Amino acid sequence: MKRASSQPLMRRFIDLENAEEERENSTAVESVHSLQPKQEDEEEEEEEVEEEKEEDDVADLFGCISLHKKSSQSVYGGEDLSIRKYASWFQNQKSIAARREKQMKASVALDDFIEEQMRHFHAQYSRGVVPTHLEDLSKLLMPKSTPPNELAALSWLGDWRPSSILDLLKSLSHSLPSLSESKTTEQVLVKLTHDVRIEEAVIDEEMAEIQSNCILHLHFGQANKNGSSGQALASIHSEFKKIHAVIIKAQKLRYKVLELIVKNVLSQTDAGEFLVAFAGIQDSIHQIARDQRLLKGSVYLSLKPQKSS
Amino acid sequence: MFKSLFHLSNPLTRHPTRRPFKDFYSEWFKTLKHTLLPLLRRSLSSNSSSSTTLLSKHVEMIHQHFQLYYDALDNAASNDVAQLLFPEWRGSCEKPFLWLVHVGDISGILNENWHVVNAWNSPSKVLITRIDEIERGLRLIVPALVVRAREAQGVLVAKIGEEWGKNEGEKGLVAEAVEGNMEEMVSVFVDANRIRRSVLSEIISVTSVYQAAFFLEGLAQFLVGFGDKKLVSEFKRCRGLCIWRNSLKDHA
Repeated sequence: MKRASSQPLMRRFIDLENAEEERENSTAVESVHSLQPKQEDEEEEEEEVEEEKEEDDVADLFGCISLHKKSSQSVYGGEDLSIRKYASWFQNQKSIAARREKQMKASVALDDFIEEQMRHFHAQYSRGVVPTHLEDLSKLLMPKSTPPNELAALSWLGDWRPSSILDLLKSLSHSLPSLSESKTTEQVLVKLTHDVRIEEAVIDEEMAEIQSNCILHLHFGQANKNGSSGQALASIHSEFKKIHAVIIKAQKLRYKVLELIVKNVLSQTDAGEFLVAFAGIQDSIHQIARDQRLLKGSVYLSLKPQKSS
Repeated sequence: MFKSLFHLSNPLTRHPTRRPFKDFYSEWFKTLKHTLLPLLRRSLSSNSSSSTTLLSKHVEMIHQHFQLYYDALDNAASNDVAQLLFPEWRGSCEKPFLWLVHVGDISGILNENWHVVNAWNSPSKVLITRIDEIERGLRLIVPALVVRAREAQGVLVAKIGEEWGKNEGEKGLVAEAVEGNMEEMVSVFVDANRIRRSVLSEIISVTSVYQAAFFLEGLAQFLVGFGDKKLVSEFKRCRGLCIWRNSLKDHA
């Protein structure tokens, strides 16, 4: 299985965001840093709720900086107050707009990242749609680059089992607030898992049907006797076509599940988090399986009598 | 049983107590192809009166040969089940027919049996009932094995996911989870083998010696067929599924 190279991608994304933050911070220092230093990272909604409460403080502070002179010259206290209020309102709007802009930029960067990851998974899950050799089918089911331990641990018709992706999602809920904090999402997920398992079972059934009947359909007997392998090859070809169709179905289901998770179940930030974890876990399992394969060498028979015998 | 496994082993190997499964399989395959299958065929086509005893003997030999294979799978499973589930030594035209727990050949054995029995044209009522029973049993057992394999995969990813990102020792955690998954896979694999072994014995016991002989010939030919050198080389040359359709016409 080729996997998403999560680390460099994520690092790039983080760098982008950091750069954005630094730039933003430097302007903030000039304008509103002295006004609301602690609120820089708070949610916009929270701020709106507290807006009125803060208004006076802001006005006071703002007044200290720029309105002091004016205020001292003013004869009418009411006029002074309204100017101060307007100034603080204006300043607030400015900071909200700045925060929105920052969020939008981060959101666009995150969107790009998610899109890039999804494109990668789409390519991975559409491998072999048009196989160039009959041999390619077995490469789809048992890719040479994927160690046997990884295949045994994860593989279902060549790559991740769609219901395992959902199992992983549930287990990652500790770091995905949009999942752990919403009952509706939880219900959606239960339903999705149920439906996906049914679809998997249908595909399993189709594959089992092909395999249990292949012994009838593969005409090896005649091949040897006639000295021609034409008929045997033709029958393998016909069975391969059926298996290929099943693999394509499995691949489509796999991508559909990932797409639903990323686009419909999770919030944008959580979708990014999930994709990073998903790719990271794949990488980690791949490395461990590869190390184990190297360490173990080829599978062997132990010639000492064992309990199982 | 292990004596015979030892017998098949090369005394010059570095570890006299272990033997690569690949070597065992290759030798097992050659014995089936070049010795046991021709013997069975010869006695099937012989008309002499003594041939029934001989046929019965050859049926038993080939039956034991299959049992030896399943025993060897069990034995090697504790070493590395993953390599048995995804065997690198099998040909690429054969791989798509190997299923996770090789359920295909369990039901395949049965279907093949039906095919042979029907071809034989005189299945007894007892035989039909018994085969029905075996098939019903398999319909219950095989999906349960598939579910166990699926659940083992689910447990693995959930274990990793729950701890992911929480601490530094991720590598150890993943290794541990993968190891746990392998233990469950060994258990599923050994259970699948047990079923395969008992279905085979059951079929041999309920069929007549001729029916058993035809059945085993079919089964052996099925395995041997994949190893046909001409077929394999044509297979490797064979272009994609769509392009092949045209060359199929040329063949006809």
